[in-house]
Amino acid sequence: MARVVVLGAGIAGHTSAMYLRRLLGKEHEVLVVSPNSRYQWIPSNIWIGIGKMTREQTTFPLEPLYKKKGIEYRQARAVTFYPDENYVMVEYVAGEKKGQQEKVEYDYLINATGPKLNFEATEGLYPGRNRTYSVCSYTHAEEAWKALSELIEELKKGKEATIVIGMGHPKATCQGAAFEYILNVDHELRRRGVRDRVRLIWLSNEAELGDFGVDGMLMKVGRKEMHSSELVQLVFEERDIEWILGAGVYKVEDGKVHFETLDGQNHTIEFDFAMLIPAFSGHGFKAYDKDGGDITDKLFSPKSGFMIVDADYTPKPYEEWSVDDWPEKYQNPHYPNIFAPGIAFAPPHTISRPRKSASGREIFPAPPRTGMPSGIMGRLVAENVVRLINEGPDAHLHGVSMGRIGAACIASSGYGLKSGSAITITMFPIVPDYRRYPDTQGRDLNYTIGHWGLAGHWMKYLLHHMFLYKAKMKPFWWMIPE
Amino acid sequence: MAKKLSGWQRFAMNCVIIQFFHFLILNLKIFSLLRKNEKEAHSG
Repeated sequence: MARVVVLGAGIAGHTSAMYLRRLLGKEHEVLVVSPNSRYQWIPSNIWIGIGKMTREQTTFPLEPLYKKKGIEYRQARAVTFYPDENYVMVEYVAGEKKGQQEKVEYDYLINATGPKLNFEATEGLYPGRNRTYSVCSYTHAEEAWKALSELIEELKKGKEATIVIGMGHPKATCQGAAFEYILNVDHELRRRGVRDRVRLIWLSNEAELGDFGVDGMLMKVGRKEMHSSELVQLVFEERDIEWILGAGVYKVEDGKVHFETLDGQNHTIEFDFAMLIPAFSGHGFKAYDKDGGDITDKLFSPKSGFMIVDADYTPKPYEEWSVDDWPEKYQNPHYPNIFAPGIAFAPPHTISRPRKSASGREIFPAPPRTGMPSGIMGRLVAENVVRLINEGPDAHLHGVSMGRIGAACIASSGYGLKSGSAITITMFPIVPDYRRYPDTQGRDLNYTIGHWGLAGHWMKYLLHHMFLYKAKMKPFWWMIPE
Repeated sequence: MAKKLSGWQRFAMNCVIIQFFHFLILNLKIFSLLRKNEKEAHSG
């Protein structure tokens, strides 16, 4: 009988748990450890942030589902790893055992703990303080909507305002989420007749519009070839959104954001409302051997704090980066019974070209790991663990890197059955493969497309319901692909 | 000079009938991408 422990119940972790339970016999145990009591469909947090959805529509409680499906659950957070002895120490975060630590043993461990939202990496940045907000979680998004709706009431009375949305750290990622939010804010302001009173600014660490942390892309839009920078510029021009690029935010004060641009100049913008995505980092986990020796560096990257997997971490210049650097099995090389799918794995380097300002500050996006690849990785890791359990340590494991899978990103640009819209982008592969696709900037144009229109909103709305149906493990959930 | 959508493009992106067909095409494109991903994930 094997015990598989999954840390985290986000898209990657919950997907792993679902497939483990489906594929493993009842004699094997699946245990999920997560500090969150609710599953959240993160892509729809944007719509909470503009008051179009509530947490009841985008989340559901995990415990009753897991109980029904035979998945053990602990509402706790991982604290320390003991990989030589196959256990983790976890700390309960709620209930009677709040604050208590417990030893959780495993045969296989799936670390799907995602990112720490590292607001502290930017001085003064914290959701709800200094008039800055976040949409990274449903609670943050609720807070953002409350503040935005109060501002809208003041705008209706004649106030003029500046809203800044974008990246809150020189190396933040998740440009797509901020891009969605600025477009939704624009749409809501227009709907309420106050858009002309607002100066709306996109503040980003991207060197070029449409970088999105994937170095931008050449795509087919209709029958035309268009670069992502052209598409995003068209969208921003159409919506009268200003943009500031190559911006590394380093400090936020009440209604002021301070940043350096790539030319080495320092700037300050005053704002009435800001949504700034923080840096992501690992959670600061420690690992120890049997004798209490610190072996954290065997599990976690000292640079990022994310888990080391089967990637090529050899330092090399951008010109020598290869799609082969990216991991395929998301398996720790020192402990082959430990895996890290989704955002939890340490990437070998970024996808976007690294850049430094004239003063030496690094300003460039970290690589995104969006919902689709996170789900694919979660499932892949679960299936590999099942192979190991059923076939033994010599089982042939499958692998797929971000250089061999694509992603579909649907960036809402306004909510509404008849008035909404979204920018739909598919890209293949996520990490550009310049060897395989030398003439089209590393991607297959048959699968790298862009579209802007009402149809995109319908797609995003459909996927919201479809993926929540799947996450709730309703009948035939497993037929819905990641 | 700012590049904005043409009148026709604005109409097309909001027209329910045109966008219904785009919706079908997007479904096909995303579905074929998902199939490609599944093939890659199970062949490696």
